[in-house]
Amino acid sequence: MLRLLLYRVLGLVVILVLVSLISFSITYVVPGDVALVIAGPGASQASIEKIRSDLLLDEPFLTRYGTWLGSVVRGDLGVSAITRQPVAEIVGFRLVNTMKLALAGIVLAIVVGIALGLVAALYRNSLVDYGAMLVSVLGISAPVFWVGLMLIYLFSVRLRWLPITDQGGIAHLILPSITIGMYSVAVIARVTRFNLLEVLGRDYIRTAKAKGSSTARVSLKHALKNALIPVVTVIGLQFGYLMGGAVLTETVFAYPGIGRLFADVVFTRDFPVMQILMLLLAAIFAVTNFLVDISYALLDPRIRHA
Amino acid sequence: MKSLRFAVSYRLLVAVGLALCCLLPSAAAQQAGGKLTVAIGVPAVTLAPGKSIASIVNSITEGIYEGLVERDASGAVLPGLATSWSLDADNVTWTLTLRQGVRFHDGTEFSADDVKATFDRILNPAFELPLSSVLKVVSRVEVVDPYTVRIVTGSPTPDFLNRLAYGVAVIISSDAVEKYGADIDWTPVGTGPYRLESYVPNESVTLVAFPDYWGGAPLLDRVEFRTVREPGTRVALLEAGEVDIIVDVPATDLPGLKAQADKAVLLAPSTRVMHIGVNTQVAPFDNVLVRQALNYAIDQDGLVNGVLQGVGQPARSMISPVVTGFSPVSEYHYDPATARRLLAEAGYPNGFSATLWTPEGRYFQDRATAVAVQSMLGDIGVKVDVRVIDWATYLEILRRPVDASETQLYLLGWESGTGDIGYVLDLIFHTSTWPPAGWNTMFYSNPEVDALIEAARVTMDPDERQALATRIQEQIVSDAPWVLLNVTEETAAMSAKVHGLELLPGDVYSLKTVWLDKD
Repeated sequence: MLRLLLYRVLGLVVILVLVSLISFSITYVVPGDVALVIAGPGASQASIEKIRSDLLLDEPFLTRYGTWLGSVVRGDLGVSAITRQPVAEIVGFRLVNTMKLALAGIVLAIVVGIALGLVAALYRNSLVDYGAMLVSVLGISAPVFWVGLMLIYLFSVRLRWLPITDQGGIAHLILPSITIGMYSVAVIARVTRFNLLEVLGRDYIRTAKAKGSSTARVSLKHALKNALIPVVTVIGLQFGYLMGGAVLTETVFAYPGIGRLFADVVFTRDFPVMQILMLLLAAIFAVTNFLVDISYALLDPRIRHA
Repeated sequence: MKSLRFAVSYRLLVAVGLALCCLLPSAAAQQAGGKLTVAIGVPAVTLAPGKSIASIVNSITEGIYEGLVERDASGAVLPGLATSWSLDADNVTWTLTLRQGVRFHDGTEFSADDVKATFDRILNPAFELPLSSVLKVVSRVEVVDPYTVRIVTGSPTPDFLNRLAYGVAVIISSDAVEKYGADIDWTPVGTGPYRLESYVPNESVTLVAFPDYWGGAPLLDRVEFRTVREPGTRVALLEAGEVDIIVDVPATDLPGLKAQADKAVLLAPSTRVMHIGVNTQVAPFDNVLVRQALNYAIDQDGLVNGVLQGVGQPARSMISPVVTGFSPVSEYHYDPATARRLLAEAGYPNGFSATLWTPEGRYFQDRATAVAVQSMLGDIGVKVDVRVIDWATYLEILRRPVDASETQLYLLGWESGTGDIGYVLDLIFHTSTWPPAGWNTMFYSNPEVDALIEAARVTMDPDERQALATRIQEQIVSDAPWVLLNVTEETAAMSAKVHGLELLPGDVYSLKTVWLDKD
């Protein structure tokens, strides 16, 4: 277990260093003149040159990378090239917002997804199964943007039940969390169904049944417990996806999170913010994966002792 | 140059205006109070005068700051923080009398020192404010007494008042200038009816009524600007009643919004002219007949009514009708036969191939416009290859020096920030502004036009200057470094309880005059 932990932590560190290198390199990779975009059409050559020197665009790569990484490690995330605000301030509250949304989305996905998967497996090849899987196919294939706008149109514009944006309270979280959680609902439902069906065919289940346990008890206690191990992995991965993949949902609902911030800073070429966001999103994904790996080991003794 | 003439007749107008408003009840009684919420499409990244290139941000600062002079929706120059002004016989010395009893948001009183501090900030070479170039004509600012300033320009500047009315020249408290310098992004201290209450960069800006405003109590308690990038969401927010005004309305939603009794729609021509820029230094585009042929090949009405869904106007010059100096000089009309004849005359009876660059998502229907142009040019035998290029790369490749340039045809829109023809003439059409010095990305050069531009720069007589402006437009449009497409229109939609919203010159919405019906 300890060795596994050590390997995983080491891997995590290597990944983060590589990501920091890639995040930093984007100023070199992205086409076009950054200073020109910030200055805008009509700007004089002098103001373009000034922006270039402010951003240290003329320094050698390694010098800039070293300076940057050094300050990031010390907790100094720098200042936005556009708004002159500290990056930590820009990212901080949006990160919390995105986490709220991702949590609401993942709770919805877990509850609805597992319920759908369970019902579908128990009533395999029945109309209930087909219905549940149809819902999950729709969840996977319907474009997020479209679903978001349809929900807004129905519940905010026509029925006026729910607000589109924050009007105080938590009501404004409902529509975006459905929009963002829909895909995860579908994935979790399918994985739950598949694994439950597999487990239900195992010998120990037959034994439990033979001992006279009720069907409900067998499915819920014996089967579901084992079938959920792979589901935990999927939930972990989905949470990482929800944290990083919120761009569309946050854009449709004008929700102040890091996904939309990412889109905004790409438009404005705000590199200091963009670099920190890339690093942050990659770190969230890597750490979530790391935690999934660990929890997997905790849940499944076979892995722990391997 | 209506402005000078206007200064003379201003007293008369005020007298008439006062008489009118005392005698007649206004059509709808103005009401005070309430909170106005506006959804805009771009983030407000700074409120620092002279820094933001997004004109919608000037609509926010329009409530916070005031200039020495202002312009109304018709383009007329009105007194602002200066109550009157005069120009000496030397044509470069302007003496302005300042308004008394004006307070800044920090409580200090407005005086000539603030004007001086403001101009020192704008002209400070260490700051290099992106929009400061229009005020570089100012050579010095002198404080004569607390309520009189003298501004001296390096050469006679006929559009000086238009430049003063431009957002970059708004007056900042001298204390704030001293404290914050160029980086006065989120600490604005102005004299306007609203002061900054709170903000979240990229998300929202909230202004609150400034009770000590010299012009009396402001019409609204609060104004919130919220950035909502997705146009469909902006429309939904208006329909759901979460916001009162939205700007940059999708053309497809305009008919639906117009049809609703509790909504109103505002469509107003901006200063932006969309065009196909032509590299006049490479064959076959170095032949003026070819460039004229391209202009004859464009069906402007078809473009406006088709691709632009009616949002826009055919361009009749290289500036917009709302810009001072405009003359509808263009003699081009949709005539493929003439276009083909001109091509044949130029030695290209079978046409030729060319590359047309376009950005995507930068201007309303930009790529679709390029594709429409491709098909129109195809009709006269010019085979066009449309290449979509991202905005950052776009500016960079357009601004390469002539020897390194690969430009043939490119789609672009130019605004006249100051609302005066001088802005684009100095920035785009003079030979001295070839990249990298400036933005003459057509590499257009006509010594006669250069001489006329230089003359117009210093001609103070309004009629003479208008004659020069017309002459310049005729020559440039006939030389055709641009293929004229359309003037863009700014679109806004609002709840019917919103009153007094207008589009001012420079594509700024008039926040000061907006009021709300009480529920």
